[in-house]
Amino acid sequence: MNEPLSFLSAWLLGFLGSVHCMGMCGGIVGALSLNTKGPSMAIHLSYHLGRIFTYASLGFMAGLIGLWLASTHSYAGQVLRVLSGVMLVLMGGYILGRTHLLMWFEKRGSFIWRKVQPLSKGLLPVRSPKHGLMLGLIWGLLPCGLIYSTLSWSLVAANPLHSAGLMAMFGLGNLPALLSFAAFAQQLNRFKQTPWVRFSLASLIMAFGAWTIAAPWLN
Amino acid sequence: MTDCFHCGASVPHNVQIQLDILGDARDLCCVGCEAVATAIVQSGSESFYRYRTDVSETPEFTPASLPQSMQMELSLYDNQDVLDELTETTTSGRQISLIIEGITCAACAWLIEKQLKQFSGVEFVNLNLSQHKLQLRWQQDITPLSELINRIYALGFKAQPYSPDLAQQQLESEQKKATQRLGLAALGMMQAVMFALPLYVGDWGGILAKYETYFRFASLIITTPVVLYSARPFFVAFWRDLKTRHLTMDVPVAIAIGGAYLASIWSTFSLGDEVYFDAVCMFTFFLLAGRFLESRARLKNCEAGNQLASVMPRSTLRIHPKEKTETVVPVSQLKIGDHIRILPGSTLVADGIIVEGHSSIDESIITGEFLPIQKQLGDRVIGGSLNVESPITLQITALDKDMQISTVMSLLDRATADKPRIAVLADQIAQYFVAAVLILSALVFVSWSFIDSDKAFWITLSVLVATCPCALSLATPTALTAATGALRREGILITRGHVLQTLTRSKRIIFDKTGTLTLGQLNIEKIVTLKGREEDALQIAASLEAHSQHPIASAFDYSPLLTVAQVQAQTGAGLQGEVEGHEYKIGLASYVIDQPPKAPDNGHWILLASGQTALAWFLLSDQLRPDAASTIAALKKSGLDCEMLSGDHSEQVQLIANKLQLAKAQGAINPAGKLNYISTLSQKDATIMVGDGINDVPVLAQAPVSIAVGSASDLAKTHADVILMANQLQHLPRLMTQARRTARVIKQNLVWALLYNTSVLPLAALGLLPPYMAAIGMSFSSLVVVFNALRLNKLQT
Repeated sequence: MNEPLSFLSAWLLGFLGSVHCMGMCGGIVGALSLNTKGPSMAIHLSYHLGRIFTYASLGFMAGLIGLWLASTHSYAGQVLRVLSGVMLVLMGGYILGRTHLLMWFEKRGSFIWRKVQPLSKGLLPVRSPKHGLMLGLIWGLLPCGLIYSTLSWSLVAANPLHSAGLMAMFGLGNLPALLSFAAFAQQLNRFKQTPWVRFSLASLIMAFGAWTIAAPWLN
Repeated sequence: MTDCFHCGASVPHNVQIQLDILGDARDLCCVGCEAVATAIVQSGSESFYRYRTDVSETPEFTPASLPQSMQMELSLYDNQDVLDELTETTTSGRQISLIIEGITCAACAWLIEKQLKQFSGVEFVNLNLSQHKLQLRWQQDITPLSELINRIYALGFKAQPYSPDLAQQQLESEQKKATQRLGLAALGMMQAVMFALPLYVGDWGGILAKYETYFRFASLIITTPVVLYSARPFFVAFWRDLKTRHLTMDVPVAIAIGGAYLASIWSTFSLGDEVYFDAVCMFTFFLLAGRFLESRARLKNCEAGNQLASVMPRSTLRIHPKEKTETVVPVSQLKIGDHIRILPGSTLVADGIIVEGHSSIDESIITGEFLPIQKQLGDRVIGGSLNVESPITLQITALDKDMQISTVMSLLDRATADKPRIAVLADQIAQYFVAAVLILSALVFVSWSFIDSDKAFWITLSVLVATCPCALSLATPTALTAATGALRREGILITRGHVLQTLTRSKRIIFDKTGTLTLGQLNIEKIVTLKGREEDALQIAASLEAHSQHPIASAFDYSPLLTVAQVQAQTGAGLQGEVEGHEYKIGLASYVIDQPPKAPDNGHWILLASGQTALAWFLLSDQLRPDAASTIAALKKSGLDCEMLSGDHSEQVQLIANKLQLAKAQGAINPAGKLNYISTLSQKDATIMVGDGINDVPVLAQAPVSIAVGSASDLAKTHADVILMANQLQHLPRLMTQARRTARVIKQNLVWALLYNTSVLPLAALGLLPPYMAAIGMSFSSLVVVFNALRLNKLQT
């Protein structure tokens, strides 16, 4: 197994990283929807569909950049690989609450967010799957270190379609944690918040980063 | 260290992000949270945070701010008897389930849990968001229950002890397990498919074929819990079927899952050609999903019924018989005959008669009728209904299990226990089908072993999976559940399972007259004045009748009444009394004056006279229900012969028959005669009998389908197959339509299921269908069946 840029790894990244988003985005749709009985499954799913679509589009763009860099600079692949590996290590640190370098990226990213965020005003509270979809499309652009590091990682693939697929898988990986309708979501949440779980998830992500950097030399 | 106002995580020491929320600057942990919070605030959803405010910022409610009656009720929760009834004693304390009202989001749940955990003596708190149910384990001697519940109220929620009936508890625990099984299968499926995908599409995603073995082992690890836990019900049923020598669809399912799993393990270790872990997980998931949907519909049905149980309050105000003081007592301490006071907005805890006050009562939980109904002194009221307007005092006539609402529930249970013939038929078909499938699979295996032994196994597997008759076995129950549920929501209660099927064969419907086609109340139909004004005559008559208890008196409804003195009633004849100083008589003509004039027409006439001067004739009649004519017309249009049987001797019978254009009407028939008539009719016609009174009970019990109108006596209701709770005849055509739709849907489902299974069989047997495709097809056909059945969830008008 020499290539870390697989869909499986992307899914795992999303899954492992979701410990971070659960508090922030988990159940948000539920909490903000008009229906007191909780939102329908359709709203949940449409929100996530929108979110994942945005991720995939971002991935597509990253892939284009990667492709362009790789075709113009022969060493670009190596550099990007190292950079993205570092980003993953940072992401692990971020989840542990140790390093906040990613927050620097988040602050840079929030200027985009400030532009698109007003679009979501009319969408709250969420009233229909259509609203959910729109909200997902917009909120997929939330300034989030997790997304940025995964994005930089997907860029290494240097193939728009492949990068888009990686980002989509990442979004799918968040799903189990974010879909709070499942019976075990509450327990899962508690489980994930315990320090040793956080620690092992973070170290797994860091290991991914290290592997991304080292992969070319392992062959 | 502060906690992030938005997500609750601790804010790292070197982060400084603040945002104005709910009038204060709040610390946030990251830019993401800031962005989300800003979006929430700017979209005007700031109140979202109100439920999430931290402990220290919660506005404190002291018990004193709760209303007096509420405090009394709360203190009741510390009563030893009440505690014993509501709680379970565990080794470390007591345990109770509370239903929490007012929860709108996860934050509310979080808040309640957090607040309760602060009390010493509270050992375990868990709030189930979807069911709004709070599990609480605590030590009563450290913190009394009243204090805990008080805190919940103080937070702005309502808490009520919850005690579901046994059946529902069982259903719920089943459902919980089913959810876990389904969840595990879903996760397993996602993973196994993810591992298998690269193997199907080759080098997609950069994974080379040489890692196949690795992926196979990973799939094995993931699939094992799915087979052992998620698929367990199939194996259990398989074993049961083996012991009872009875074939159900669980047999081929268990063979397919078990066989594919074992073969894949073998293949994994022996480096064979094919593994089927993905197909095993998919198959298990899809099967479980179908069953899950079906059982959820059942649980919903049951919950709607159990609503009745859960709305019942635990305590009420009892009025001391002598001192007239009010005390809050637990419902379990009430006795029949007690006087209780029901405040507006409260639920009636028992059946009773109003002995003081009048109010409007919302009986929608029993009848489905949404408008509150006016109830006067002496009227009967039903436990479980809601007092809307003003306080009333009841004398209890029935409690607990004897309440009308409980009788209704036990009738509902009977319907679910009663398996309709078509369901039995489907089971039988499925049994033969399964036998055929097993034989066929064996044949396919043997044949392919000769043709190409490498393919024999997976082709047999495909055959087993593709032909799985799950759609067949889901076809009927899903349709019946959906149809019965929809009817009940409209106030049409089906108490026997066979009804929907029998109704479709019905050719004749027979109505009782009084109380069924008519309202069962006398009315003044016509006034013929002989002397003076009609208005005056009516006023005098009404004033006299106001002093009588006779049913006729209710026909006279007039105000203002005149003052009356010295009223005397002559049983079976009439009344006499002084109205404003003049002597009047009202009643049978021969009683009122010595030489009465001839009545104007046929019918039930009574005469009003002053001395020997006849003043006015009143024609009394029982009014037709307002919806009788339209109902009969609609029923006729749908092809039913409408008839009437009545014990009434009067010519009213023929009158009504003409008015409603009934095919046949017979008057002056006693209960035995009705019974006789019904038994002469052909069983093939599946005659429907609609009735209400005690005298209808035998004939209701005898008729192929019996329907009781909502105002019927309880005895009549227990013998009826269908009860029109909302007391509206016009529900009959809707019932007929729904029955016919149900039959149609069931037929469609069965045809579809059989067609699908038989058409996919050759494909699978020829080896054109890989196992995972077979699993997808199987689930698709089941989904078609389920969604087709769900169309019945809404009544057509």
